[in-house]
Amino acid sequence: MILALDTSTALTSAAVIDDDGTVVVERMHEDARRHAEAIGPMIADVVGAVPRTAVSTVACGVGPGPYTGLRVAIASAIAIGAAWDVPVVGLCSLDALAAQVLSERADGQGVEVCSDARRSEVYWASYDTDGMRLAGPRVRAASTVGASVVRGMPHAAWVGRRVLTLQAAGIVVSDVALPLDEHGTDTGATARAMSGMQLLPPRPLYLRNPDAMTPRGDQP
Amino acid sequence: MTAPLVLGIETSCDETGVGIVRGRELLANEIASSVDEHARFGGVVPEIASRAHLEAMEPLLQRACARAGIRLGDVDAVAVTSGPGLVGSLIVGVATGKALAAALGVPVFGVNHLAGHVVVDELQHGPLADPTVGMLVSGGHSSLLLLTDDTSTITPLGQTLDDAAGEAFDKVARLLGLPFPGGPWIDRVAVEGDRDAIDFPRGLAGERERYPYDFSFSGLKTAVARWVAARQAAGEPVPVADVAASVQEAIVDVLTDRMVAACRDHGVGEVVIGGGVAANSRLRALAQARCDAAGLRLRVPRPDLCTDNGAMVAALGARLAASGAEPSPLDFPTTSALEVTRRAW
Ligand SMILES: [Zn+2]
Repeated sequence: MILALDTSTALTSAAVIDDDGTVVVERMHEDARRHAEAIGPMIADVVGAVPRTAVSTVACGVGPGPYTGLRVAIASAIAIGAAWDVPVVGLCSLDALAAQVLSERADGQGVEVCSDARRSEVYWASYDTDGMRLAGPRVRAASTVGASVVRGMPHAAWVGRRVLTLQAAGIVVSDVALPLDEHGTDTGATARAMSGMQLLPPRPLYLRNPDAMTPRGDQP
Repeated sequence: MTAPLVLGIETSCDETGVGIVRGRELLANEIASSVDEHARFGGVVPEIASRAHLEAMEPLLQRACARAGIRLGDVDAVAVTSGPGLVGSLIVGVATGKALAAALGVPVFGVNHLAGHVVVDELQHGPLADPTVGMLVSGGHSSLLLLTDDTSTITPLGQTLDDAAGEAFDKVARLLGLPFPGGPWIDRVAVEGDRDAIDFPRGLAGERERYPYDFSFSGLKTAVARWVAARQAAGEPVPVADVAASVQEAIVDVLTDRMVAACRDHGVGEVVIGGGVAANSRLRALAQARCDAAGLRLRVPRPDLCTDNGAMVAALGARLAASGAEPSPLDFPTTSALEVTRRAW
């Protein structure tokens, strides 16, 4: 079983899925400013619903996400993994959203997904019909993304399912050093490192520098 | 029955701390700091601090357990700072603490950071007197508290009306061209200076009636800036050591004066100084002299227990657990300006 958490959007979400992808238990709460409050009882609920030894992996959505709460699911997943001594993996939250969208339509088309990045921007990525990430994630002006884009919210059950399919395909966690992406742009190296099918370390995909606090011309 | 094994997590500012205690016995106190990453900004940048907390947490948990010779599964209770502090930083610790408690099936205590600064001294100098006065002085806070054995509340007596004492040191250090954080540098440079060379203002000195236990340091910073500018305008060199020594004296004079007054007025015989500024050598010397004169017992934890750390959170959690206090609900909030009267959630 996989225990999965995601706080990359206004949702706080926790779930446990079975080895065939069935949702065993799921909790969701929508409040962009209360991730850290909401997640406690949710974790207690999902942990209480399954035998502790049945969970083989803890997964978390690592964003991108615009809220300071992005770190809540990741910190929680790391803590549970440490408490139970089980591996913790991360997943680009947009990958989960793409998998969810693709499972619900059968038109043989790929998909572009985006989620709210605030400041009139979106986090964007594009996928082929198998859910392989072809480009992104990137920050883009909301006005530049086309009509084909699906806007939505990833949640934990889909983070868990996506992790399960990647694990089944023999994908292991790659401890890639994720270069800090400049605001709104995407370096070639980042794109190569991050596209495709990947399980990630449980570390946030920030995609923005620590919030314009870095003096101009003084990029790390 | 052995005392409960408590793991404490601290992430209120720029230090990530994980401490482990068994009752009043300190088993581990592991700290990571992002202070170097903030240095070029001259102050703590919240988003940088939040990112650093998350990076540091897992290695610290593992190191603390290894140091204490325990497994996480042995922990009887988890304590975590719920405030006051930077919200983005606090929630990394709170999420970690809640998830650990839920995964281990043990209670969690969301605790008041300020109370932790006082209670931590129990790890070094044994049980606190009842009542006790605590004076907290750091880059983030300057306050006087009254603690009783009742673990549910602490009484705030006074606090800074503007800058914290450590902030005042930082700002003056910058005026003098000394590095951040400024406190240790002022202390070092002041050794060569004359603390009576310049009579800098004592904040609120004339307002004892209205603000009996409060502090104010923003006027001091302004006075130093004016004094230095006048020197430079006159083409004279700035006597850095004399300025540092005189500023330091102005700060610690007010702090220790109010501290002794708080003890005297409330009939308290013991006082604990906590926070990073407690490491200041002149503060310790003057506080000791004034406590001796007033017949008070002064308690100052060693430096690694004075600065923000996980052991202080664990110590407070252990005290709460031992007293049979009700654990916090798993949805307890983080509070940037946590009312100081609430010790546990
Ligand atoms: Zn502190």
